[in-house]
Amino acid sequence: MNSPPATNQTDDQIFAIVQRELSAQRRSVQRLALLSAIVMTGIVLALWITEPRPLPVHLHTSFAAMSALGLTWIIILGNILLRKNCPTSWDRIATAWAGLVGGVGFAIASPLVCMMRGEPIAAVSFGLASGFFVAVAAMHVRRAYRWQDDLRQRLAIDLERAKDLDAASNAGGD
Amino acid sequence: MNNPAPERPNEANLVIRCQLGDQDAWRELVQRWNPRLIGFLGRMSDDSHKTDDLLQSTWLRLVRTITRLEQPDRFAPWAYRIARNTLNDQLRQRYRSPSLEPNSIATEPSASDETLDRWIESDEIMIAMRSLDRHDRLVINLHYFEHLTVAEVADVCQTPVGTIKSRLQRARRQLRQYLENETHQ
Repeated sequence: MNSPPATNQTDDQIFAIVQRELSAQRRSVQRLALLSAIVMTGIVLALWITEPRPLPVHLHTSFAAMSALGLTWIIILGNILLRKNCPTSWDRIATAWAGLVGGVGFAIASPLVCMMRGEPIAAVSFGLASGFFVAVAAMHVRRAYRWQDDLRQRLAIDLERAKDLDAASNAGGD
Repeated sequence: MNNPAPERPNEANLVIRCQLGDQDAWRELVQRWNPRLIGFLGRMSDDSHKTDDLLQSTWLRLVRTITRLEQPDRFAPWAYRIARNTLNDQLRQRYRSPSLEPNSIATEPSASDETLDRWIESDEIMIAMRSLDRHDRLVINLHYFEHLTVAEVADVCQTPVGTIKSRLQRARRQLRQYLENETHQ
């Protein structure tokens, strides 16, 4: 076969890049941002709903813009952490946990804001809505752990099979 | 042309270990796959100076998205697909901001398969490959140099098997013509 084209990248240099990419620091910051975005969006929504009516149009616009911004951040960060940059099964688990903790934060903060402003119906509505988010997030955590267990199981089966093959070839050699 | 598949011992196992975050597995995967990706990208890229960038980008994508690979035993087609997508992105970028340097190799459109086989072993293939259309070059590269089956090539290109077969046929014909022209000159 013809010689491979010349490149300055050795295996060690590439491995250094891989190692740097595997470092969890940046993704941890992104997870923290995701968690904050979920809680902050919950609080902004609760404030918007419980604000005494009638509200001037510019305040409606501001609340809507802040909520949209929060939701956009949640979608962008969720997409990055679950699809674009998720190198290990641990990352999937950590992101699922960030979603769950954020959901719980949303479930506590938004009804609390509603109660503080004397809006029990809004508090119950937010409680129910956030309960749904928490359930979805919990399901994601469970799925992430199950996927990791599945990987470990496949690895164990592979190792067992390799051992059996080794044993069979040794027996054949004897 | 014979197409012997190289052995890939425990590749699925290695990929699973990478998905679990095992650094030793990553080192092994890099050692095993870096030469293959260098060869693949080198043969696909018109500009050898860009191969380093392409290689780095391909590895970054591989690391970042390895958990999306549902079937670890299908790592090879998946890795080549990522390399191909990286290459396409680079070409798209170049299209948006075209360089002033013209492509020095002009497109040149019959010998037997054995002659082609012998020729494939030579370094001349690098020049000849560049005379091929981008899609044809990809299928020749994957099938004859990276030893992927036609079905696997179809998987990488996300194209029906029949189309891959006809691309292979067309590319072989063009390479043969190129070889004939070279030998007659």
